[in-house]
Amino acid sequence: MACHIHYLSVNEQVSWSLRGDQLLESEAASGMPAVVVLDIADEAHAVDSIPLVRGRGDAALLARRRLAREFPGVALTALLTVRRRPRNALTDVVLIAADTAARHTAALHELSTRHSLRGVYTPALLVAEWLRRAGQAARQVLVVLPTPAGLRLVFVDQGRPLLSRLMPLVDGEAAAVEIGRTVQYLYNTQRVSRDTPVQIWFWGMEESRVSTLLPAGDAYRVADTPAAARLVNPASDGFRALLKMVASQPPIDQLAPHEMRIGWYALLARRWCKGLAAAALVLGFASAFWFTRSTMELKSSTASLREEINGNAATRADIEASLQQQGLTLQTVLDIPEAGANLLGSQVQVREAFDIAGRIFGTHQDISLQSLEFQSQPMVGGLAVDTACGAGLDEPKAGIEAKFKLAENLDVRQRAQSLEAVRTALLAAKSWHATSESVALDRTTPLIARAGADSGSEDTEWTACLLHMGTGT
Amino acid sequence: MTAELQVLLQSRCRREVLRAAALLGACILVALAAVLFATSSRARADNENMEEQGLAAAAAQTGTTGADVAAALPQLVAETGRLQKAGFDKPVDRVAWVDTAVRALDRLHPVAYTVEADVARIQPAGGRLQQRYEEAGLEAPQLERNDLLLRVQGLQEDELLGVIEQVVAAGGGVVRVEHCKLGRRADGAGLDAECRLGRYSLRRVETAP
Repeated sequence: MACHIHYLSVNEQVSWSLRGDQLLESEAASGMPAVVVLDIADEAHAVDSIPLVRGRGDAALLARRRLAREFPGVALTALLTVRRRPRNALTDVVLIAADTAARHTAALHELSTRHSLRGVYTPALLVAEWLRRAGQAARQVLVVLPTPAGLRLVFVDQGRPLLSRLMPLVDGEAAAVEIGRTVQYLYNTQRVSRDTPVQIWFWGMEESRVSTLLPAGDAYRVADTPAAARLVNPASDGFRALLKMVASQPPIDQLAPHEMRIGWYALLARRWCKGLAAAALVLGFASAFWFTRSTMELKSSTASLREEINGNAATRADIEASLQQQGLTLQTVLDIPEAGANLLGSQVQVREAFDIAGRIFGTHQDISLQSLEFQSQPMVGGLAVDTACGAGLDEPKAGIEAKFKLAENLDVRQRAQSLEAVRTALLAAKSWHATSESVALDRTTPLIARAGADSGSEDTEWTACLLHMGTGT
Repeated sequence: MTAELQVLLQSRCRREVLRAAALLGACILVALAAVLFATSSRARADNENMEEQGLAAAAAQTGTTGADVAAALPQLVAETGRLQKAGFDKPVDRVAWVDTAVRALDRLHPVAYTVEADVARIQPAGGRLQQRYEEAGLEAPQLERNDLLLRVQGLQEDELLGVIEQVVAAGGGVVRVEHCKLGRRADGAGLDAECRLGRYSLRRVETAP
């Protein structure tokens, strides 16, 4: 948000507005956002250390108290952090104050009532801000720039102004002497280490004028100001570059107390409220539109579903009418075949079961079938008969339990051959599956031969189980 | 920000700020009203859609969507006719059934026999039919089961199977041989047999859809 600029110095008051990238002298309309640039000599910078305080409220309170103690009765003050030293629990700060004359104070109050005063700045604050925005905050540099009030010297360290002096417009030689004294002052107050030459940047001056301002000695070094993207270079444009910067994007660090900035806060609050109100309306109506659209889609889907249901109902009514002529109902036609299929689908014919048992046990002369037991898979809720096949026949469709004996007086080898014949026949049965115990037969019992009587002469009854798992097993 | 706000609210600009805040509040209320109206319309539409979907699902579960039935109707009618003709929807005539078994056995002159027709038992239909009704939250048709117990002594296997086939045919409805045990007799004269046959018929429930 571009601001109107009010420049106040001892001799003059000027108003500028930024149009494009041009600064034009013009009076601001009432209520417009504005900034004040105060270019006066009574500007104090005190370097100090304060306890490191965490918490925004406490830090602000400490800053206010420290400023009130350092500059009692001064309205325009600011406390800027230079660096934090957590190890020592200290913060190095610079306390800045601009002690305005009564007429300046009156002018400021008048401006604050007419305009939305965003901030009061000094050239030193603007120089430091430019360095920070240009990415040169780490530098220690003495900036010399002419302002409408005279020649301003600003020493910046860590992006903070630690010294600011205003010299009236004097000839080059006197100014050079004053710059030399300032350099010496920086060494004397240990703001710059003695083994480091003070770097001086001259802003907004011709080469010829710069040469007249160079102090005697070699305690300084004149350097070129590096260009910065998206910032007007003050090396060529001088003070106007800073004015353009403050007009287009005023810095946060400024000197005016809250009371003087009420108009600005009110403007911000109004704009935020209006912005939020517009956003709420847009969001609300967009959501409503989205919901309405999805409701329409849902209604359309409901309508097509209803149409489908009605279509099905009509078809069903036709079917029922046609069935009624045959003395049937739709439920009868649906339920009877389904129940019949459920019963018949799980059925295995008893003749098939006995045939397969006959084929397995009736082909070997030494095998005598003693009993056959057939069990169908019980229907849901029906009675299940436990057989030696066990398992209650949950999964198989049917089971056969066959008990057989071997002929008497078989020797061990004949007995083994007979059982092997049964095993082979069990494994070959189509659609039927012999249980593993059945296939094992005598393999799980010891083979014993006795003198005078073979083990085969014992009256052992063998059991084999066959399960019908359904088609394809 | 709190300090700034306090200063602002105590200042001459308070009225303007409060007016802006009131505008914000009004706009938020209007937006909320619009959203509430739209969401309630949407909820109503949602309910209607769910009702319709419920109807469609219920129809699908009970297999009564006309489109599903139309294609398979001829086969269903034929199968229904066949099972009805066999008496699948009628209770058993126990006397006739036992009489058939007795006559079949008498012709073969077994050593001894017993034919026992048990009382009817009701049991679930099971399978997809049961599942279809349960999913629709309805009471499914049930099966009425009548057991016939045959105890026969002294018949050969083929003779016994012949008797069983005659009894199955005479039972009507759907008859299954549930259990059958054959054992060799000690005297070597044929077999001892004990077989249980189950005769099923469909018992309709009047609340069917």
